[in-house]
Amino acid sequence: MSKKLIVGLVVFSMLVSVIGTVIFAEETVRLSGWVSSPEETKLLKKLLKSFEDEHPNINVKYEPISGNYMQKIQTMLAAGNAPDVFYLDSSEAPTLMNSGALQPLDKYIEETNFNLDDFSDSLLNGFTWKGSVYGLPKDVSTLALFYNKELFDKAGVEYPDKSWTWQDYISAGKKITKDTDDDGEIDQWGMVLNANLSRFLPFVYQNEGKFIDVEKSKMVAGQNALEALEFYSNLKNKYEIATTPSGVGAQWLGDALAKGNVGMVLTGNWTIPYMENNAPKVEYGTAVLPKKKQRATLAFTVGYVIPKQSNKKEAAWKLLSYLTGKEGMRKWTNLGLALPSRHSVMESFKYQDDPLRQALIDGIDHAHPWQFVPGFGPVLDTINSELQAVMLNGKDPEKAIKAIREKGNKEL
Amino acid sequence: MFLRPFNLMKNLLSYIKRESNQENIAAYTMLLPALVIIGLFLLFPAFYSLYLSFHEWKLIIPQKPFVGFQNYKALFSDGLFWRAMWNTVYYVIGVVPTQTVIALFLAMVANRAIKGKKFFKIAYFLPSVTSSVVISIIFLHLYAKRGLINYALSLVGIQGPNWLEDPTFSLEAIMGMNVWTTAGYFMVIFLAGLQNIPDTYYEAASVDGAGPREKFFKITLPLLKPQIYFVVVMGMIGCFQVFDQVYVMTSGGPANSTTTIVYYIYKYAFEYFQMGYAAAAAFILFVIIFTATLIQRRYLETDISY
Repeated sequence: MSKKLIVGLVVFSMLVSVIGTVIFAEETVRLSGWVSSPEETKLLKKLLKSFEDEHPNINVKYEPISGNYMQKIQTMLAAGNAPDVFYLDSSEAPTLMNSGALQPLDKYIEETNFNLDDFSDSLLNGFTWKGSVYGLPKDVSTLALFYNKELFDKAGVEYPDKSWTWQDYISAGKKITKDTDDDGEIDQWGMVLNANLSRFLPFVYQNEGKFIDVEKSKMVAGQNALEALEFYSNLKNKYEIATTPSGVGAQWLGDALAKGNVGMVLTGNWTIPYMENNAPKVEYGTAVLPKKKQRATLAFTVGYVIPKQSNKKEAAWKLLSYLTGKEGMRKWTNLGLALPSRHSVMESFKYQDDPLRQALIDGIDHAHPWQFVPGFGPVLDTINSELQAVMLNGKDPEKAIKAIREKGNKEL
Repeated sequence: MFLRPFNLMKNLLSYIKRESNQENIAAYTMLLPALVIIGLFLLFPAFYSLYLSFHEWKLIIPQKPFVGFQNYKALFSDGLFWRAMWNTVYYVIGVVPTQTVIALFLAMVANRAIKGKKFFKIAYFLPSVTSSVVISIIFLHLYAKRGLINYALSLVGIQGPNWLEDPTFSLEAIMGMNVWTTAGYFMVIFLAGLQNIPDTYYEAASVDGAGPREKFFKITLPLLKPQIYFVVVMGMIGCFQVFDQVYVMTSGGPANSTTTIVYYIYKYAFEYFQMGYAAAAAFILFVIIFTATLIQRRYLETDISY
């Protein structure tokens, strides 16, 4: 091949691509999220395909992130090569919204008359910062009480229902907890608990306490939080009706339920498909979390956001508003992993009448968002360490609460 | 002014042309790739992290305001930092002497004419060429509540704890694993040292009526001083920097019982993204390791060869 020919070919191909861009104006939008299951990825890809069909001049490049998600996203943001649209957990949202790395969506919402009223207020608030909306919630998950029907039947305890209070944990737990093979070691547990704030916090809210005053960005862990912690640790250390997941050889609470020798766990929607696949024989039910002074649970929500550095914001908004739109959300939530965050989608939700999901759906009404203030990371880790010290090492709850307050007020 | 660069070039050229300098030039040219790599990946990051330790940098916010000694002040007032420091010192004090003594013992055994010597040498050395993550994952299973270790204990009637989930045992469990991993490597170092000691010394000592105890304390130990220095310093530095095992096995928990200083640095740098604060902690670690090495150099190093 002669040199001239090569040069000619190169020039020609460049010309074609330039003309192509001008005529078709095809844009590629990058989308990132974490990977929780193969089904989820498959469905997301299908959703993206139908988006591309509706918007022939936008290409979506799906770049899933495995491993430490926030670490990767923050590094990409710092390096200036973040994806144009990405998942953001509500608990991480304040840090990012406060940093100025995210694009406020108000302008686009207004321009396209996007209806925000359809979203649950508390979920949308998770992605609102100083009056601007930075992201739209794609779905929501709540915590409920998952219980093993067979163990309840055997112990002659009635299934949990709305009338349950904290006291019922103890009375049911005592009847279920057993040493079934008489080897001196308990092998059937009333409950499995996690020494982690994401499972303990509902108890604090149920006792009308809180850990943090979000508006004042101040730690307020007080008497009510202390009482909740005392109760939580007593379940394991005083009444001895509960253990941690590793105590039954499980990785997490849903896994503990799947073992079949656990009466009750506090977990969420994601446990339902897990049980279907891993423990189809374990018969279980769900109920709203037992109350104390009030009823409360936690809501975990994930939103789609656009970084300020994206240079394809228009196309990114089209994608974002499609994925969180009625049609996109309906398809997405039909997977069964999470609940819709739009009222209208909830009305026609595929699992609307599913008895297993009823308690989770009911929970949305009294759910507190799993969300704190910017830079809460070190405080959250301290809370979890103190919880572990109380649960596993029998540390005095009062000292733990004091240590949490100190660390919190130092960091915030 | 304008002549300056020209003069510089001229001087440089005349320097290159001079015969006596040729050797230097050749040497530096050959060193250049190594110097660039060391400078870029070792020296620059080291000094940059010192610079960062006086600034506040949140990674996604490009501005890095100067904060003076504020990061250091915050560090010293953080209970968790001291906890991590204590855990690390405890780790060093526990692991370094143990692994040194065990390595020396293994080397002495391997230095004798025993059956299956080669097999044992390989068996003990194998852990040190295995990825620490793989080892950690295997030990996760060994240390489990119903793991192999507790099964072995149950055979002699002891009910073992849930090693890694019990704050009383978690750090010790990782320390034990570390000793097992590194002892074999240091055994090889000691073995090399032992084989360098001429047999004539021992023979002469035998003639003079020295028993095995005297031989060990008067001949073996003093002549192994260079190896002991090496093993203690490397062991100490390795222990001060313990991270991967903690990251894989316990994530610093439970209740911060295994949070070591490097894990603490990692948390602040790559989970909370407080780079300046983490850099300050890293610099303190550097000062500690540097000082500890200097002290050991003072007492253990010897340039006397026999």
